[in-house]
Amino acid sequence: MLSINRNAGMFVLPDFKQIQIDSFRHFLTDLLRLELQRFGTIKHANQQLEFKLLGELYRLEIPKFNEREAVYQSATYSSNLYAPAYLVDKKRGIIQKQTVFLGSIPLMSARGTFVIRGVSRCIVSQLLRSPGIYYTLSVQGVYTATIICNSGKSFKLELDRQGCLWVRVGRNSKAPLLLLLIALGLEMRYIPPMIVQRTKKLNQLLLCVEDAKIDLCKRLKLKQKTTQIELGVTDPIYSLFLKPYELGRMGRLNLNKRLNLRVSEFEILLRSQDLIVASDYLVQVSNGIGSLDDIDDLKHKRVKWVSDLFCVQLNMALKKLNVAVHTNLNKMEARISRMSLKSVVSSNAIATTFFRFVASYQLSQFLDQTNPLSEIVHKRKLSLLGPGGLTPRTARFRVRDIHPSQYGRICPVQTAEGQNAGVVNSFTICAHIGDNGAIKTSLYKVCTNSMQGHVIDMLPGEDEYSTIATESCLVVANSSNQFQSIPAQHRREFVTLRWDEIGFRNTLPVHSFSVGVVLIPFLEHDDATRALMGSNMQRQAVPLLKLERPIVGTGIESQVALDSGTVITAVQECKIHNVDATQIAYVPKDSFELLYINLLNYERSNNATCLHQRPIVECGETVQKGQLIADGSATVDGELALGKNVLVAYMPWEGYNFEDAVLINERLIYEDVYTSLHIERYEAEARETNQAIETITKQIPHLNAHVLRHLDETGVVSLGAWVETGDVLVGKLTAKQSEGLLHTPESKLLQDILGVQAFGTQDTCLKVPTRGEGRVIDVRWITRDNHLLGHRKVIHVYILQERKIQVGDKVAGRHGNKGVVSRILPRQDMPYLQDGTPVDMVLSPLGVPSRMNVGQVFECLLGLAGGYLNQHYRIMPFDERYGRESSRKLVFSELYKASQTTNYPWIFEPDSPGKSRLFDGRTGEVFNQPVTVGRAYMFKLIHQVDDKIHARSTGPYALVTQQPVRGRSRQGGQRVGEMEVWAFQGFGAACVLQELLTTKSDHATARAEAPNAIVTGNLVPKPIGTSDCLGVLIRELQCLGIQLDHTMLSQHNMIQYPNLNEE
Amino acid sequence: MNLHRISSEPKCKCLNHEIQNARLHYGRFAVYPLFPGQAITIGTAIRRALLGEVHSTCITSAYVVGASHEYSTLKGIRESIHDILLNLKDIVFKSDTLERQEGILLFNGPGIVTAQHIKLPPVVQVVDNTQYIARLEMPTSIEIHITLENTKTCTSLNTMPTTKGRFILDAALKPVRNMNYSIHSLGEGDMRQEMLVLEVWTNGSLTPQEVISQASQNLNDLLKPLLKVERYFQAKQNIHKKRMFTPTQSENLNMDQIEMIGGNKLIDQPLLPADSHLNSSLSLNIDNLVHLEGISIDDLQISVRASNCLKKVGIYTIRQLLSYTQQDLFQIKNLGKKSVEQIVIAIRKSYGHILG
Repeated sequence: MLSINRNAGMFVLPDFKQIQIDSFRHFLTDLLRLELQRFGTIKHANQQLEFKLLGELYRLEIPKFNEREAVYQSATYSSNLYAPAYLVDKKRGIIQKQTVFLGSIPLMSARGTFVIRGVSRCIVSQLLRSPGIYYTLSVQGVYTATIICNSGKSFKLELDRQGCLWVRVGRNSKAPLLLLLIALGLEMRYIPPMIVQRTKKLNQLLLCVEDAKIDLCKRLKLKQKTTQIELGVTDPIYSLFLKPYELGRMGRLNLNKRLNLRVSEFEILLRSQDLIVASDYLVQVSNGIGSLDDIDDLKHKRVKWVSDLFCVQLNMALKKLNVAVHTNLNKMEARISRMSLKSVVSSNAIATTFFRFVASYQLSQFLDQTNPLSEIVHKRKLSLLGPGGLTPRTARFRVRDIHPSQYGRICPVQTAEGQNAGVVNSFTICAHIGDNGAIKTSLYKVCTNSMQGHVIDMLPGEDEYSTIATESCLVVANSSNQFQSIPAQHRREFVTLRWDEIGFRNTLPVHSFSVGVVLIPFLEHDDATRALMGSNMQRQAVPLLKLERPIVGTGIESQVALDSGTVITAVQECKIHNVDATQIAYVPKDSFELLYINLLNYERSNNATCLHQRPIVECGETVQKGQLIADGSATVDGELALGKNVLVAYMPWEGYNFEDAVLINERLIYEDVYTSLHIERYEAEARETNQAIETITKQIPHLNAHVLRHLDETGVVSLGAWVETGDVLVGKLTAKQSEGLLHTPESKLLQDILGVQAFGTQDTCLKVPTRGEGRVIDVRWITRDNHLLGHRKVIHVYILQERKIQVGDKVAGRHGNKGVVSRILPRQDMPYLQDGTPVDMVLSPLGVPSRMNVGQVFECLLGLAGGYLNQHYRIMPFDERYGRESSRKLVFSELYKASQTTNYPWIFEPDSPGKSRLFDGRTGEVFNQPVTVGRAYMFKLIHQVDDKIHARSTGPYALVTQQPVRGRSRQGGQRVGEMEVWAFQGFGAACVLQELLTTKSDHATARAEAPNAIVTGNLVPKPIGTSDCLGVLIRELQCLGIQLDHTMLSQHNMIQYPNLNEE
Repeated sequence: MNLHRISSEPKCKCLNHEIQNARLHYGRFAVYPLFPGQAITIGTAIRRALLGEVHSTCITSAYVVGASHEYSTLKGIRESIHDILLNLKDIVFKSDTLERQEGILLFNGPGIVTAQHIKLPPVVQVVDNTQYIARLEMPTSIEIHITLENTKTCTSLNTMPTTKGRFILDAALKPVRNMNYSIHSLGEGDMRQEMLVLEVWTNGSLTPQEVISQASQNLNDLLKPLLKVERYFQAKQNIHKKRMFTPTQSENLNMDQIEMIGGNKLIDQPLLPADSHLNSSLSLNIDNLVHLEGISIDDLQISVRASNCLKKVGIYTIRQLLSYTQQDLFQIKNLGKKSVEQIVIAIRKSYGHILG
């Protein structure tokens, strides 16, 4: 890292999952206490009963099981909340004191995730506009002051081009500001004449307070809910305007700051004086006095993270509890005989609120667990969506765009593709969150004396007027010429400044990028969109069986692996006592107690990939605190290892790598280079309802013995069985009162004689789906208690598949170079190098120039050198700071070194550096041009053909349209859309088109006849009549002016042509 | 060509044989003298044969005592069963037989299990005794029964056994690690000769000398059918002469097929067996015969059922069909009276021939 002032200490990257954990810690240690304290005392209406909660003495229980066990048991990882409480009966003078159970709160694990019903979830931070007032000028020349409230709602004060002042709520409803002020209870004489003058149709306004209120509600379309009317809320303005547009503490502070007010920060409601001052300023702004705001600036935004959300939920839960306590006290009053604290407090309020919140809140998401990187990136996401935020449809271009104020806080590269582009962002590696949800970044203060330079944290607004240069330029400038001018950021603009005018610089070259992006080597040579794809696709890489670290990396790999929580580190200095595949036993220093760490063994992740840990310490070894003791599923010696270094060549090969297809060597299959483990979970449940009784049994009369061969005595598949498509995993029979049986005379007779109900049974077995074959590695019985269905048992069967790479699988590199495997060639057919080595992958050279991801070329060439020199490189991006074209110089010098050490002159040929002559494996001939060859780090992605391949033979039809349903999981059909129909029309494929529009679509009778015809061996009859989708087509043709109808012709009107076929 | 200029038959000489470690053998061979152009013929052929056709013995299945499935663990062992199996897969053996062999691995811990602990029949040996298998950290024992097969004769691939605890390893160890050749010109002008230098790296299961000879043997075996082709080649030429004057559709088709073979592509329609030229129906003249050669029976417009039946017994073209009598057709499985009638009528209609 950089040479930073020793006195200031070394700059260390913050823990990547800290954003989540810090927040939750803040909630548990501070906010929880505050909220509970606020609960206070509840008195019954007649003052006889009093309930008091001593919130500050709350206690959280240690969870019954840890996070992994919760996943295993399909349970929730939570902690029980207790607090002491008093119940005072004044009439009798009885005081009860007891510690009561308030409910359970989901806990965040050390990895920054929640476990809800066995599913890992993660709460994504939300970026919202801070409450306050913002002045903007619209394109139409209308000056607006937007007042944003605590809840995210906003209304506007508008100064239109006629100079009138309006208050606008929503898009369509506005009212004169004067009306609002009157409705708020301000008398005419206190209203400044400026506002009165700027009101249209003054004489039409009703200037009495009550009338104004009604008029305002009508104009602004504020509607009272019926409940409020019933409750008799008298003041509509309070309940409809002031209360919903509550400023909150932060809003008040921001308003004070912007308008130079001195109002107490506890005055959280909007006052009429605020509006007067705000409109005054608005008029000033329109006259050129004062300044407008940039609403997209990060200083006007704040992060709403876990602690804020939990705090809101706790508040709601405690309100519910309050109501519950009230009603319970009422009940107790009614029947005085029994009085106990337990019956007063219900634990339901907190438990259900939190459970519902974590399970259904929009930003509480199913954790992406494809690999360690995707986990950590998910936790560092920052979304503009969610309650109080935007929706992907309404988000304008401006809010999605990169803003200069985001420098070092939000990554300019990593975001979602498509609809959510720019809406779901990511924190940079140096970002951390300060008070009030402001995103801070670490900048290095430049001083003339280099010993005084130090790292400071900056809030979004603070750095606006300082000069920030990138460190890469500074190094160059510093070494060459003191007065050389360098680019810098100042007041949100990019300017060129003298070197000694610089106030700050970034701490790292990759200071302003997020976790996924900094893993891309030679990032500076890639186009931003491709870097985006590269970082997104790294998150989709499947952990492989045999792991390999990248030859070329950036050096952040180890920290990503460490912070992802998939590796295990020693919590204290200790001596390893014993090591096993399942656990590590250790004795802590200064103690004789033997402690165990359990390792994960082939567990399922959320995305069906495999979680596995391997110990890397020896017996008897002494390990220090923080030392790595076990590797995770995609790490090698604590470094992230998602892919493989394979030999790639950039050349066309018989068209098999046309349009991003990839040709691979068979070696990748038989040497298990791209083999991954996938664990799928299948679930079966035996229910008992009044219509049907389900039983789990081995005796299934409907099926043959072959598919039942793996079932044990209980009717569940045995552990370790190799199951194939169609095999029964759980034998289940559903007994139904069969209608057909009831009506036959003999069954009626049987019923009458024996007095038994005739039951028909139906086979509802859980079977292995298509392409689901594998090894049964676990069978679990889960007991679930449900209020409605009572005690029920669910069986989970886990099947592990070992998947080799095959045609149709997606592979990608780190630079957004993705492709689909198109063909697998035996190694003797692949092009080979001059030392005889066949290449592993053949990529298209046309994929590079138009995509502008030159980084992949640098990476693969340096990888080639590293492969021959047996050396790994960790190169921080932006190495141009060491001189011009330093990336190229480094790569060439390493290639030259490799050619010298290995004595292979072709590795570095001065005529075509980085390229070499390749031979065709089939003919032994040399290809007519030198080809770029190198070792690139390639991933196999989660998009695998096994999960996607699908053809519909039979399947359900949608109920309403009677057309085939969509989707592979439902045995759906492939849509023949508008353009496909054109193709059929254009080629005159009338019969195919007819079949697709009738029998295969919504022609129900023709569809029913087809199977009969197939079974009897006849030709499938032509459908009679039209289907609805054919009707649509006919209408379409009619639109083109083609007349389509049928007329009857009698036979003798037709000209008889002699049958030419007859001899 | 100038055969007299080559003083002697080409010879292969081993220039170098190094054992870099137990699992990396290197050998260099020179083949000379060769005529210009011959070196690449041999070089490419032998390279492809070496990389593709040489097989060796490796573990194809293993029975681990006490393991319910691959993804379980045994107490006191550092690796999971799956890791152990992956290590077993990589073990290199030297075998004198192609037959299936059994071996057993018994080890009492603690200690490191390596390939030397595998007990094998005398015909099979472990190449590298130090190959790591597992590490037992506690005084436990491990017992693995293994089956060794030559990958050439191996049959059990891709079929999962029903016996519990027996695991299939899809071992595909290739004895040839890498192969390279270079061509060197010797002499000048008319005296130019070529020398082919072969470099082979093997994994120790076979020595470079052994793989070279095995690959050559395989090549030889592959060429055997071509030795017998002479007799038919004459017959073909006759046809060719006649066809010179009447180039037909079928010729183009045949040329297409030949091109397709050259382009390394799959051929949907199997080529005609060479001997069908000879025992063709006598009633037809040879011109017609050639004409009908390339026409598929699908052109007859008979029912799918009938055409499938014909295809099943290897009748793909009209010409093949014409060599059958009606009685022969009745013998074909699943071909009933109706279908035969249909075929006969179709042939009569389209080509004017009556099946005997």
